[in-house]
Amino acid sequence: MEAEPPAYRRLHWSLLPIACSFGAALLEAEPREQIFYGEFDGRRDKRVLIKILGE
Amino acid sequence: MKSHRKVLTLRLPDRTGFVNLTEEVAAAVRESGVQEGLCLVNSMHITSSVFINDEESGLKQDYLRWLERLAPFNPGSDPKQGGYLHNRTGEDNGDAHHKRQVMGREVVVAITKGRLDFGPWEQIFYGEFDGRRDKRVLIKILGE
Repeated sequence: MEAEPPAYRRLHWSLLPIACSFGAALLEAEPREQIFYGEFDGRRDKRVLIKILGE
Repeated sequence: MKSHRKVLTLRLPDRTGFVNLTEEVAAAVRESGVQEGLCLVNSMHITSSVFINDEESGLKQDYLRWLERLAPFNPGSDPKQGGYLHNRTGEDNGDAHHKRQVMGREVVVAITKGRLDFGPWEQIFYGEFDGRRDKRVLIKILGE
């Protein structure tokens, strides 16, 4: 990875730990399953919604 | 937990086309009375899709052109001549199965405070790739 990734790349990487911790703690994920955000029109704010239901 | 099921029947006059289902799905959410939950919308057929994107006429034409390049209509069954092995069954819709696979089967939308929790431009579409006959879309809503 380059020393100073562009903004759209920083957004991408910053989301990965969130996805990973959910995978380990809560989701019934297969060992290699990871959740990704894919950006195709970046360099601006984008949002991802996580909605959790259950008891 | 509440559960609500609704089936929409669509019959498009052409072989391909898109229908904006957002208002029908929002109505189903209102009927369900669910305030916090999830809404599943899926095509019940393997030659049509449900997907989310923008209500913009140019984009819909772009999609059709792009899909036609990826999987051109060809009623034949000889791949060497651009046909589909699937059409050996006597059908002519091998292309429609491929187009649907690219555009997807279903969408899931969060319900928050009794409403579909969309991003600013999100709209729910039905994509038809083998029309001129009745097709069904399932809406299933779960929550409280």
